[in-house]
Amino acid sequence: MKTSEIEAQASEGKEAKKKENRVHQEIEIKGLEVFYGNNQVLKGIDLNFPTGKVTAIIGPSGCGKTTLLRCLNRMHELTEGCKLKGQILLGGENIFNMDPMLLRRKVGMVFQKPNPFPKSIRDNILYGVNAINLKCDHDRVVRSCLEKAALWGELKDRIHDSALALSLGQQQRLCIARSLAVAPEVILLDEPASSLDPVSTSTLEASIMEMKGEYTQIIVTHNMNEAIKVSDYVAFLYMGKLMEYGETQTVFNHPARQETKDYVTGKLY
Amino acid sequence: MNIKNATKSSSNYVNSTMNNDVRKPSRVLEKVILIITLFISGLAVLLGIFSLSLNNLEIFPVPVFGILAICLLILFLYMRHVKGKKDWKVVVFCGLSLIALILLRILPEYLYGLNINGIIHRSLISGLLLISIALPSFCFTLFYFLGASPKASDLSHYPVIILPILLMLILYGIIIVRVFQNGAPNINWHMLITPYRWQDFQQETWQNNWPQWINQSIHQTGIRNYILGTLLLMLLTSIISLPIGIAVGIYITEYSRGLLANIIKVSCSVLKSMSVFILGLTAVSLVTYSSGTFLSKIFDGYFLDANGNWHLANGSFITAALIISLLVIPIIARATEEGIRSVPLNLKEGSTALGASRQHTLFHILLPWSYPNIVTGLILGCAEAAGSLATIWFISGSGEFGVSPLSPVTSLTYFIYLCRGDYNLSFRKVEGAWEYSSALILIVITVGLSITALVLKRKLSQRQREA
Repeated sequence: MKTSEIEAQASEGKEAKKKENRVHQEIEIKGLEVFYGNNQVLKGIDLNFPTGKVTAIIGPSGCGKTTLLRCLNRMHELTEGCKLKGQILLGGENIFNMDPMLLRRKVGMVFQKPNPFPKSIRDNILYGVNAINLKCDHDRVVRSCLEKAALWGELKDRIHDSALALSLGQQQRLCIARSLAVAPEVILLDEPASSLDPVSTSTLEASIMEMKGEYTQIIVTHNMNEAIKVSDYVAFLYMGKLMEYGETQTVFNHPARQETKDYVTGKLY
Repeated sequence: MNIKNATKSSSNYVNSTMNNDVRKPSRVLEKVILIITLFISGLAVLLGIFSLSLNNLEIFPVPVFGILAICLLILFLYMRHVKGKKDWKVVVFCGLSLIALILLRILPEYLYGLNINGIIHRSLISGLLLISIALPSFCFTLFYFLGASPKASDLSHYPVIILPILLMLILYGIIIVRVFQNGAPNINWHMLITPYRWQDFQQETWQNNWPQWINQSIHQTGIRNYILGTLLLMLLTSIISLPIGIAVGIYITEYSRGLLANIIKVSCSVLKSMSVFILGLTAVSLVTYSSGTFLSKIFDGYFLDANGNWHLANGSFITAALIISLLVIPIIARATEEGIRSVPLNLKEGSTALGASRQHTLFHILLPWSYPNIVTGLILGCAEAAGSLATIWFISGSGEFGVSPLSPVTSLTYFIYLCRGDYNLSFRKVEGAWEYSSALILIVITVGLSITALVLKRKLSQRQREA
């Protein structure tokens, strides 16, 4: 009995240690392969995203960045004819065994084009909260979310106005605020600044920097400067394969592969 | 090379314009020729429209074609000699009008089809020829008249677009004026609030413990019940078909992508295109098969006579609404489908990415977005219900016994039919042309519905899609 108890404790301890290890790696991707019909988009990707850091995924158009991102909260299931092999672990749990709605609450997403709902700003932020009937102080949620997205100062008097009346940059930050309302652990950003002007872009980048530490952020971007400025780690995808992964400074200054070097210096599109 | 060519052509252009300036064609002569041609071709188009329906205009087309051909020839010669432009279109239409002239001279007055009964009068053909030849001539004469610039070529296509619209408007105008002329003078308040009753009956009374029958008659004329019946029919139809139609639309777009969805789609379009008399027969069978069961009171409908006894009728408002719903459900389903399909994908994805369930997305994003479409579909369906006669023809009653969901069904359209058809003699005692008055009221109801739909749609879409 005693020995078994001790063993059990020991195994628990091991598990706890494992968990501790895994806390540093919020999301682990193991051997991910994605097919659209017969077309293989991602070819065996192994990748970890560390907790509380910003990881940028870069690569030329059509290399599967967005597909990879959409797999992380199972948005790929909305696309017809999309098949997937491999494992994705969120905090040690396989996301394909989870309820997709619970998963999407934990892993929020911001899209390329700002897509506020045709409702008021307040209703936009409370949409996720109302969708799961979460009981909380609505006013406080609205305020804290807007503050985190650096919008509270601009919008505190206009909360009941339509979200469609905002500028594009404000709309995109509103979308970030909206995804924060359901208390996610991970935020996926799919080229969030691609349709914004330079000023809005820098504001958006500032709010991404501000959210560092609290949320694990994964950002797909075409903009090298943005990747350098915002991210802690960089993953370079090319032709559906993971070419290089490492700390931002290392990847940009001392790339290990020729393709990475070419892409970073603008020779490879 | 290209550049050289371009410069060459532009220099040519400059030369030609300069040449034109040197020649200085007389503007007045040109205008006169163009105006005459315009006038003749416009006249020919009008003549064509009228000779589609009037046989006694047949002496005109031949000379008109002749004058048109001469005018076009003069126009061509003028263009060629004075401006140096050869516009072969003009010659082609000149030749075409000459051919049409000869054809009309050759044609006998009546053309026979396969048997002697298929008769086409010559003026119909002359009308078609006039429109198809004179309208293009009018257009390119207008093009020259407006100065032969790119803008002029744009404007000169307007008559082709405007003419059919004009014809349609004229038709509408004829209908409205005719109905208004005949119907409006007869409408009065008394007629609107009195139910129609024309009954001779024996009333049972009790005197000294013995029944006595007294002959009585109620003769009152009015169309209250028909108006209320139409409104009730619209209401019941929309109550039945709105939820079902929306559900079908949602199911087709969101929940089913396989064989079943295709079957539903096909059956919807079949229902829409099916002859309404078949549905009328369905209504009859609904009434006859239910007789004797507990459903008979619902499907047959019943009314009370003067003595307070109830009798089964031919068919109730509920039956009629059910049958008309078969026509209206496809309309609403289609509208819902269109509305949901028009929702931007990124809104749907945004909702899903926030962890919202499918239902939540449906009720908070998709359906609010498609409200305007659904409203349009509903109003179209209501108009269908208000205007349908064939579906309820076999089961309609004379409307003398009140209006409630279980009363015998009746509506304005059926009343119009009764007024025109002379098999029911009692309805001929109606004074004046009441069918036109009822038609006018029907038009007012339908137009009112359409205006409501427009206003509602605009309001809903403002709330949804704009600021």
